[in-house]
Amino acid sequence: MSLIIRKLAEISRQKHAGSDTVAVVAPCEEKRLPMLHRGVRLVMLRNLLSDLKELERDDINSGQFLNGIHTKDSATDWKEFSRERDEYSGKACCLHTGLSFVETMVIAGMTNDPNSGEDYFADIDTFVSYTWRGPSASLGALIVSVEDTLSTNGIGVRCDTQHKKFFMSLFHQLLFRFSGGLCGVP
Amino acid sequence: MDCAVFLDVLVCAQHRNIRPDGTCPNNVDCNKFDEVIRVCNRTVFYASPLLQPSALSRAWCLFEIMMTIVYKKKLLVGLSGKDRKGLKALISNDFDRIVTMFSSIKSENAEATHEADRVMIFGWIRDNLGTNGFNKLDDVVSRGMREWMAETSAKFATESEDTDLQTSAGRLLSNLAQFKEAEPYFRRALAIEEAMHELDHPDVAITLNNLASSLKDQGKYDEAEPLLVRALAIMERVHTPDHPNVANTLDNLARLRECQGKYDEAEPFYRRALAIREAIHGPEHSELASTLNHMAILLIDQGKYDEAELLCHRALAIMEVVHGPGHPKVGFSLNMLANVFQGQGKCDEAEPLCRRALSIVEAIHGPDHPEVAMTLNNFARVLLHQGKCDEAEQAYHRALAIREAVHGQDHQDVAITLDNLARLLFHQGKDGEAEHLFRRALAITEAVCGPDHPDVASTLGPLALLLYGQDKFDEAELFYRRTLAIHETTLGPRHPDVASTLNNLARLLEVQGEYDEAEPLSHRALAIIEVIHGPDHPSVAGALNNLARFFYDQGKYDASEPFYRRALAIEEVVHGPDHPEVANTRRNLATSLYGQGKFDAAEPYFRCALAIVEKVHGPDHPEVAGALDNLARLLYGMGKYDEAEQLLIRALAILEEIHGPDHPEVAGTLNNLARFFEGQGKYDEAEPFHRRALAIREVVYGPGH
Repeated sequence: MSLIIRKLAEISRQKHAGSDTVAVVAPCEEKRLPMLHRGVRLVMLRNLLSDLKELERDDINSGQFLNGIHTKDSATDWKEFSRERDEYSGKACCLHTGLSFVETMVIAGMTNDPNSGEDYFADIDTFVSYTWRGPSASLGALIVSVEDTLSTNGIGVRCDTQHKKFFMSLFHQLLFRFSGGLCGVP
Repeated sequence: MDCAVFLDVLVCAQHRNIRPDGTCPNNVDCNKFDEVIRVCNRTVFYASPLLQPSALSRAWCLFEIMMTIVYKKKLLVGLSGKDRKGLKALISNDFDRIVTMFSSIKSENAEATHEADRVMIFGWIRDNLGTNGFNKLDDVVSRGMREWMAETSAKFATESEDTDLQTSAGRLLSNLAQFKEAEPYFRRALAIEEAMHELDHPDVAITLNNLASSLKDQGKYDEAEPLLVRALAIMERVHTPDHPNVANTLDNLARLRECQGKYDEAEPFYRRALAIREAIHGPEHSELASTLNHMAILLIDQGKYDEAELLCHRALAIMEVVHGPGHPKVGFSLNMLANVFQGQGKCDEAEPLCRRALSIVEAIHGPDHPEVAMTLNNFARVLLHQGKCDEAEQAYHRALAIREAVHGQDHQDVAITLDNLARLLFHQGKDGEAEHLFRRALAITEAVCGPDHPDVASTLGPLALLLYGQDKFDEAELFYRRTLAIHETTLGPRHPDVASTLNNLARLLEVQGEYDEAEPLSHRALAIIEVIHGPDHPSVAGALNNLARFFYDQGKYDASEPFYRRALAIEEVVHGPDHPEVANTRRNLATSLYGQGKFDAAEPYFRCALAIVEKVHGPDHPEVAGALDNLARLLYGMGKYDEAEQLLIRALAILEEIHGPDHPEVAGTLNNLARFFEGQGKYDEAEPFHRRALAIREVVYGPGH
């Protein structure tokens, strides 16, 4: 058990007891960990997924992870965020820094896998494009998918197929063009 | 793979507290997506649920995919476990749904949680991608997804003995115009089918059709032909004669024969396919209308415009009933009918059809869609034939802008429009601009299709003609010979395009004095056209005219005469007696007779030619001045000085009215008049004409010219 979420939540409660909804003002940009150094390695994702499972919330989506398991809609979830309602939400874990989840982990000294010692973070080399809400938007499934996709660099599942034939037509959309003409007469 | 990922929910600050300096860390982080994608090696796009990925309706995700492709980064598609398990079956069994998903991306409808984000992203799209940026974005995202799917299918297919996976991989690659890459998958599918079934199993026939399609797309017509013949034999053996698979194979075979220029062989296949479709679907079905339209193309190629018109009218009526008046298939049918009218010289009737077709596709797809570009291409061609060169040029430029914006600078559709626009500019005498565009089109086509593709020949031919006009004979000859080699390889030795190139190469050799090499080429061209179209086709008249001119230019007037006479006989039947083409050939025949000293025989032809151009162009047109000049020379030779003088004075008046009194054309006719009087010994009357001509030429060319 990695306890990333539980540990950050505890630190947040201790260091920022004044408000369950309003974070501290973040430090200026120069004092932050530069964006390009905030890349999350797979070992950290695996441990985060393990945390989510331990908290029985591996099927929540990214919006719920961030603003609280009780939230349902991206348009309103930020209004419903409160540590009082979900102390293990991503934003609750970062109330004391006003920074990102990654930066908050770094500030807490959580930069390595406690079992293997592997670094959690490195320079970003892979962008993940996804949605926070909607069908099939579970954060756990996303993490599994990212790891699978990166490890196979493609797809490799076999399964039976039903036999069906396709008939290709030689017709293509016509692109009208001039036909080659003869030389002009005098 | 040891990667470090950017997952915004973890990496970006999410609280929106404002710092004393007015900045918000959340905003700062969100503004760095572009920079992050630029430095990344790849993007994982999470596309579940696969058949309707939520992310494709989100403005941020579309922006992210776009930037991934713009920065030429690898796009990997991630799926949920459920989708991953079902992916292979989906590719194998539900190919069409996948294609539908790719084509249904509409970035303009994308949403964002925060309206400000959507406004920002849409603004970025408009600012950076132009007015049709959304279409470009749709196309880029769709292409990225199709490339991933093609790669995935190919991987599945390589690991599998499933013919459907081979076929899907082949179809996806074909869909990306990667025909050469698609071919091995179709071949593998065929090998598997043949090993699995008897050789005349219907699945073998279908796979033969697919492989033939792939070969046809590469211009390998000769390789495709036996496959389709075999497929048809199988279909006819295993199915009833009116089975849809028989009709499909007949359609494919007809289309291939048409590409090969074997029009006579294509026609019966289309007719059989039509009969089957009518028997299956009745007289008003969309598939029947499609075959009618395609058969009309064949008839247009053969110059059988009247029959083509009937088919196009019928196809249009069916499409309007079946799909309603605003459907894209109606737009296509309108384009077809316009094409027929244009071939019949009825451009005024073609124009409103093109306008209606354009309004349909614009209403459906918006003003900047590739379908609009295709319709504009067609419309421009009609406008050009109407002599509305400026409007035609505008239409081509619009089509080009759409295609460049949607497909990028190096797409084959861009090359086709460049080629068409270059032809228009060439027609207008803007040789420099035309040459530049021809060379751009050629470079794209060579890069995309390879150096021996038929489309390369399609651009090489007119470029060679342009270079010939600039006296750059060596390069023109090289290009003509390349064109001929490509046509002969891909189309066979008896195709109209081979004949056309033979004619042009012969002309080039002729002007270089290589008569012995030129003459057999011209005869070969004529023989090809006679075989393809029959002895009375307008194309035969064109080839006869060329041969006649070939002899005329060498001073072999007697040899030219029979060719001009045959050409004239054809043109009078095809166009009617008062057509400008007929006038032109009459004048040429008259000139040939004049060269032989057969003045009496020549006179009625010159007079008739004059009457036609007066009727067609009105009495004050430059063409009339030219015809007057021709007739005046003849009459002078016959000693009919008075009438000749009147005609020359009239020609002079026309040219002065059109060009003004100090134009070089006017100087030419003044000189003719001076020589006319000199020839009669009337030197006093000749002198003022000489002086005026000299004065004009000194001003125009300078005194030292």
